[in-house]
Order: sequence, then C-alpha cells, then structure tokens
Amino acid sequence: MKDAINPFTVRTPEDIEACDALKLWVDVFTDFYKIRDPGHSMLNGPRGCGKSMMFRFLQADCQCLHRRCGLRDLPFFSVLVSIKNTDLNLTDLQRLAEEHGNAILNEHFLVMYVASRTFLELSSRASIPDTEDNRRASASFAQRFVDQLRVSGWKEDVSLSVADVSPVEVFSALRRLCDSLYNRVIAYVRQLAYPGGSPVSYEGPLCGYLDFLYPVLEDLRGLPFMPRGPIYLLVDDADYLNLIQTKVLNSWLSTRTSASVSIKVSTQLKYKILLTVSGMRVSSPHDYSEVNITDIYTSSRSKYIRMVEEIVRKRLAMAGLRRIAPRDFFPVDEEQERQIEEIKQQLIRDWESSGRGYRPSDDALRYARPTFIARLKGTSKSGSTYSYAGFEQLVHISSGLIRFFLEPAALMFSEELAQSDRKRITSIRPGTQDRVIREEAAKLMLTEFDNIFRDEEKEIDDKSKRSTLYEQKRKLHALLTVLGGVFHAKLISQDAERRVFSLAFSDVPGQDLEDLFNLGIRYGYFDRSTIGNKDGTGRTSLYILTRRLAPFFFLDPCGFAGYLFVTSARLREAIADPGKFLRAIKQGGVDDAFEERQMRLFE
Amino acid sequence: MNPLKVPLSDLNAELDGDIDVFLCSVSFEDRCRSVADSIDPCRVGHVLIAENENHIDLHGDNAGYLQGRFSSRFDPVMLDTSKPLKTADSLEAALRKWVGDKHKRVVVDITTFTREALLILFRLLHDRFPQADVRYVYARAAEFDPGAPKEEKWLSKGVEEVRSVLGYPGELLPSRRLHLIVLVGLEHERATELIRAYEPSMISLGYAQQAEGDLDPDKLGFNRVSAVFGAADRFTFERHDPLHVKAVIEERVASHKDSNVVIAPMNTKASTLGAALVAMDNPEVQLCYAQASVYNYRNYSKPGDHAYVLRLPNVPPVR
Repeated sequence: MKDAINPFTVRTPEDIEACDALKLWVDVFTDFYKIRDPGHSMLNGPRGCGKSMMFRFLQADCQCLHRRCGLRDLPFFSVLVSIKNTDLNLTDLQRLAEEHGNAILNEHFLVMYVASRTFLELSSRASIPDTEDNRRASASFAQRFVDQLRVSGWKEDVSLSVADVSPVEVFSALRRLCDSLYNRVIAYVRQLAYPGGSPVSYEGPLCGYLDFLYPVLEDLRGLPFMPRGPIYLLVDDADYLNLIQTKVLNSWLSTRTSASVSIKVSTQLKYKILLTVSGMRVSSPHDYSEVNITDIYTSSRSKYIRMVEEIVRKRLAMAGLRRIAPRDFFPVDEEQERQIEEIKQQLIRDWESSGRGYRPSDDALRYARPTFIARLKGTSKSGSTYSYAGFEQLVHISSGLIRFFLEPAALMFSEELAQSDRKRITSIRPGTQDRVIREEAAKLMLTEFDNIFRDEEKEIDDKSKRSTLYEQKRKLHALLTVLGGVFHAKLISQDAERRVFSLAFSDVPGQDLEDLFNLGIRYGYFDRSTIGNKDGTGRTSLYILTRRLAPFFFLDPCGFAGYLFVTSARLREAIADPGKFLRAIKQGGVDDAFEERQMRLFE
Repeated sequence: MNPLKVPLSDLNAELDGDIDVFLCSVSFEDRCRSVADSIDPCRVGHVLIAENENHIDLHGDNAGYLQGRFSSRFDPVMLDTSKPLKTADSLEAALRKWVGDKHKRVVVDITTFTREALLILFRLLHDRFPQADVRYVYARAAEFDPGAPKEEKWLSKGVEEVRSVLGYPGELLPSRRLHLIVLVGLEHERATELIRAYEPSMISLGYAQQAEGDLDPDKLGFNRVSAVFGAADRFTFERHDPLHVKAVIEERVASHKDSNVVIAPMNTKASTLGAALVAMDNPEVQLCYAQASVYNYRNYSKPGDHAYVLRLPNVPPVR
C-alpha cells in the first residue's frame, strides 16, 4: 500500500477545511490568550512554529464549528490577511520610494488587499444565512461601500448588481471590485518599472485606514448577521511587507481602534521596523501586546511535550491510526533503553555510598543516559551508535519548534513506507528514526553551513561588508564546533552536571561576540534567554545551542540541563583555534575553562 | 531551427552580417570570455560590457580582458545584483544611446548575466527597443563545479532574499490561492527553501530533461518535497529551448486555473527566457528571483566548446 496518507505532511493552514482544522487543532490559547482576546497584538515566532494555524482557528468557519453556534453569536469576526512573499512587496514599487505619494499609494494597496480578504472571508467562510433581511442589509452595505469609494476618488461608472441577491453574491461582487482596484495599482507600477516609457499617472482611488477601511469595517460590524464583537485583522507573516507598507501597518496599530477593529500581526522575527509613517515608534504594551512563541515553549518542557503529543495524536487519528499513541508510533530503541535502565538501577544502588543528588532517583535521572553515552564512546568509536529514536528524544531535538518535529517525521514515514511491505505503517522503526534525525542534524551543520565555508566562497552582499560577514560566519562555525565539543566533553565527564546546552558570559562580552551570537540566532543555531548574572546584581543573556545539533555532536537532548559561564577572553581564544582548545579540554577537563551552573530544561 | 547549437569555432560565421551592438557581462566565471573570444572584434560596431559593481573584486582581470579585446569601442554598464532598479536604469541608458529606435543588429551574450539581470534586459529590449534585431548566445559549460563528485556538485547555496523581478509583477489577486512553479536547478535545497518561504497551495517542480550524467530528480530531492509538503506535481522541460519551456509551463499554469502563479526560474539561462516568455504572454503570472546566499565562486564552471544561438519571438505588448 504505497499510497498511505503521510500523517506528518506540512499543510498550509489556509488550505485546510474547517472540520479538518478542528480535528488537528490543539488549544494553545491558554498560553496565547492575548491573540484570542480583543486588542492589537503581535505574535512573533520562527517559521513553522504554529502561528498560521492559530490564525486559521480564529476564522469564522472554525469558530462556528468549535463553538457550535452561528456567525452572529461569535465573540469576534476574523479576517485572515495572509501576506505571501511577493504579494505586496513588489520590486516595481521601489520606483515610488523617493516619490511624494509613496506612503499614500502603498497604504491604498494594502487597504485594497485587506478589503478583498475581508469580502473573501464573508463570501466563503462566514455562512451568512440567505434571508430577506440579510439580502437587504448586505445590498445596502454594498451601496455605502461604493459611496465611500467615490469619496476616495473612484470615478468609474460601474454598477454592482447586488439587488436581491444572496449576501454571498454581494460580498463576492465586492471582492472582485477590490481585486480590480488592487490590480490597478499593479498596472500602474508595471508601467513605471523601466525608464524611457511615456509618462504615466495613477488615476484610481486612494483609500486609507482611518478615512476608508476603518469606517467600512465599522459599518460591516453593524450588519444584522455579524457578531457584535470586534473584527480581527489577522495579518499573517507581516515580515513580507516592504518598508513603507510596514510603517503603514504600524500607523494602523498606533490607532486606538482596537475595541472595534483589533489588528493581530504575526511575524517570523524579521519585522522590518517599528516606526509609523510619521516617524513615531509603536511599542508594547502601549500600542499592542506582544507574544513570543518560542519564549513560552522553550521555558516549559511539559507544555511543549504535551502540545507535540497532542498534535501527533490528532494527525495519526486523521490518517486512520486513532488507536496508536505517539510514543508507540515513535518507539525507543529497546535494547538501548534496557541498558540505560540497568545503569539507573546501579546508580540507585550506589547512591548511599557515592551518590551526588538529594535522592537516588536524581542520580538515576541525571547520570544514567550520559553514562551510557560515555561508555559507548569509551569502548570503541561508537559514540555514534547511540540511538536518537523515541518520541520524547525527537521532541527534545525539535527545540521547541513543531516544524522541526513534523518535517523529519514526514521523511521518516516516507522512508518507512518506501522500505516496507507492510500494508499499514503503525510505527517508525528506531533505525529509521535515528538515521533520518542524524541526517537532518548533519545537514544543518554540514550541507547548510559547513560548505558555506569551503574554499573561498564569499557572501553576496555589499562589497565592503562582505569580508566582515564572511569572517563572522567562519567564527560562528568555530563557535559551534567549540560549544558542541565542550558540551560533549561535559556529557561524558564525571562532573556533577553533565548535560549542558547553554552558555553565559561572566563578564561583558563585547560587540564582536554579541554580533556572533546574533548571527547564530538569525541562522537558527541559538536561542537567547536571560538568567541572573554571576554577581547577582542583574540579568545577562543566556545563549542556548539548538538541540537539533544534538545528534551531530553526540549530545543527550533529554531532560534538565545546566549552563556554563565563560569569560569573553577565553571564548575568543577558543574560537581562534577550536582544535587546540578542544584538545586542551580533553586533557584538562571543561572546568578549567568554564564554570557550570544548573538550570531547567530548555533553560 | 531554435535553439541552434554550434561549435564556438563556428560562431563567428553563424552570426552572419554586421553586429551593431554586442552586449556581454563580466563575471567571476571565465565563460564570460567564451563568446567574445569567438567573435571577430572588427565586425562589432560597439560593445556594452555589463558588470556588477558590487562584485568587481570577484571578477579578476575578466573586465580588463573584455575591454582590451574590443579596444576603445566599448561602454562599461554598471549593474548591481542587489539593486534591480539600478540594473534596469543602466541597461536602458546604454541601450538608448547605442540602439535607440533604430533597426540595429544586436547580439547578447547571456552566459553570465544573473537571471534577474537577464530577465530585465530581455523585457527592456522587447518593450523599449522593439526595432532591434536581437540574437541571444549562450556558451555552454563543459562541466559545472568541475572535479566535484556528481552528487556533491553545487553552484549556489541558500536563499538570501526572494523578490519579484522588476517588470514582471504579475497580477496576484489577494483572494486567490498560490501556485508556485519552480524550474529546479542543481541544488534542490534552494527550491525547497522557496517552498518554505511561499507556503504555496499548489507546487509544480520542473526538472530539465535527463541527459547523460544528470542526476535523477528523485535523488535531487523531489521525494523529500513530496514527503514533507504533500503532493507536488512534476514536469520536465528541454533546458536549452525557451519555447519548449514556455509551452510546458503554460500547461502547468492551465492545470490550476484561478490561481495566483509565481514562477521561479532557477535552471539554465535559456529556460529563464522561457519563463520570461510565459510572463510576457500572461501578465497575471509573476516571476520571482531567489537571490542566493553564496555562489561557488571558486569552482563554478569550466568553459565548454559549444554555444546556443537563440532568436525569440515577439510577444504581445503588456495589456
């Protein structure tokens, strides 16, 4: 059966039917209630962390199913404004960058985009009852909408045939009108693309937020079939707006309209600017509330594991594997776990005489797995034979980002299917899990990174910055090598704390090292958190190595982990010659160079 | 016949008649000399030597070589890989000066233009200089990433930025779903990265028709895309024939009606021109350019001994 459904395929939430979205939905709004509740907000998180799924769940069709009620009884009405990469951010618009009307035309462009999406939502996802009253109300709204457009400069003599048709048809007609006005802007900038053409001028309407979109949305809220609560504009992936469009959106955020129109912006951590068109800064919590997804999931092990477990359970159920638990679908390597269990029992027996923790179980939890890995390493060159199979290990390796669980899982399923003559895939063999997750780690460290530094390849960028950036990347690679090596050395040592994934500075690191870690954060190799500084006088940055690299450096991705303090001078020395530094560590131990601290999982 | 494959040694004879304007691009690849070396400089009226100003330090003495070959009959045309407007403005100014509205015979060596610059140049010539009689020449590589094992070959890595190509904005309607069509190049990971960036509703991945020594698309990564992103369509195209590329892409476009279509040409220069023809004939289609994070500057290609000569049809003016 080679056409079995892959339960882990990445699907664009926008394309998922409401009933399927509900089947897949895992309620995270206890953690992210600011997104669900009225008020402007900004939801930040890397690509693939579940932002779009949250927005999908807030759309009217999902909410009606979830709450088992009609449109009118919903507490809010959401409009998904999904920004694709080059939808609004057209290169041709750069021709206007120095022009007087740049902000005005870009705002109109954005307004028409939002208006079109609003009418799409109403015509396709809202299930408006086709009653006499609703027909009258929507036709009357359409007339007012056209009047508003005329005030904004629309001069065409087009009549909308909206008398005595269903609300869906009315809103479809309005959507088509907005699409055509949106296209008019594209037609205009297309003519500006290359110099040497005939002079052209824009002669369509110019609609802004406060003078057009907000009144239209307010009017919409008053229709008899609409919820009494606010309208949510869910602007997904706002990083893809160009600079001036971003400033325009910030100007909207700075308005005090959130009681009736709440703007929810999601970003992939690359939002361009927080200034408005007039140069004012928008800030949280004054103008909007801010939610950083990774802060929440990297700070709590149990929340994240529970969420992934629930997501996997639902995906398996949708693929017809309802009775299979995630932990059974991704089984551990039983022989390995048996040996680790033996070590645990030994540690418990030895606790009276040589224990380090408060309880025997502390030692068992803290040292059994590192001891197992150390023994593998000690007896042969088989450190790599440690198996990273098992649901919980895979969750830890995904480092708080669901995408990094699902993508490898999809590959594992596909590989299992290709290799199997089983009629039904009910589990992924540990060998397949381990192989795929190792390949992903190697890809992250080698294909996606190491090759960048092969020979004298150079970063494309401004010529003057290129060599600096190249040097930065080379140093980042050295830093990862050092930290991976140090953390591994720590893991197989006899030290009290062996699981380490994080690093903090015991002094002021300097701009060079901060820039280096920032580059690592940008490429997804580190997360940043904060901890109390060494002197207890304030807080300092904690840099957390992604656990996605655990299989590459033979690290234990599970459980609680400690962190190390290091001086900036010592780290610079290590980066300058990683090989020499790691040899010294091997001989003298990690403590000569680093000072350890323990902290919670994911720090 | 289109395209016409000729030995470089015969290229001079093949390009019959005078060449009023010869346009070429300096590069870090020595292939930027292949066509210029094959044309008798005395036949050329004037030469436009394009060069990416922000990459000059990577070009070695290739600019000097090309300038020397055509003595004083050249104009430098400064482009910038990160500033498409500057690229368009510089090309337009040079073409206005040396081609204008005359029926000039123009030969463009497309070998080492970036895909983005090539798309801009192609559209400029079509829209602004319709009187020109243009032939496009592409010098083949004997080998890409010479010496590297087949499965480790690479030309560029990563996707630094994705942008729409100037002059090809498409007409993407806010209410429509997205169909992403990628002409996949040597590095499948870049296509996968584009899919991640766009999150399209429909995916069509185009692979150059298999030639001896080519890698199987499945090995390249199609299976990975299918596993991770669900059903993706696959098609093949003739890499050196823009008209064939146009025809097969148009089939893909027609297969998902009422969708926004974005095409990412990441394969040969000729197939990039095929994508341009699609967008010029179908203004609703957008072309995008995925700027690479790094190029294999050190070992990109080894010059070959053949070239393709292309004449491309006129397409209707933009609506």
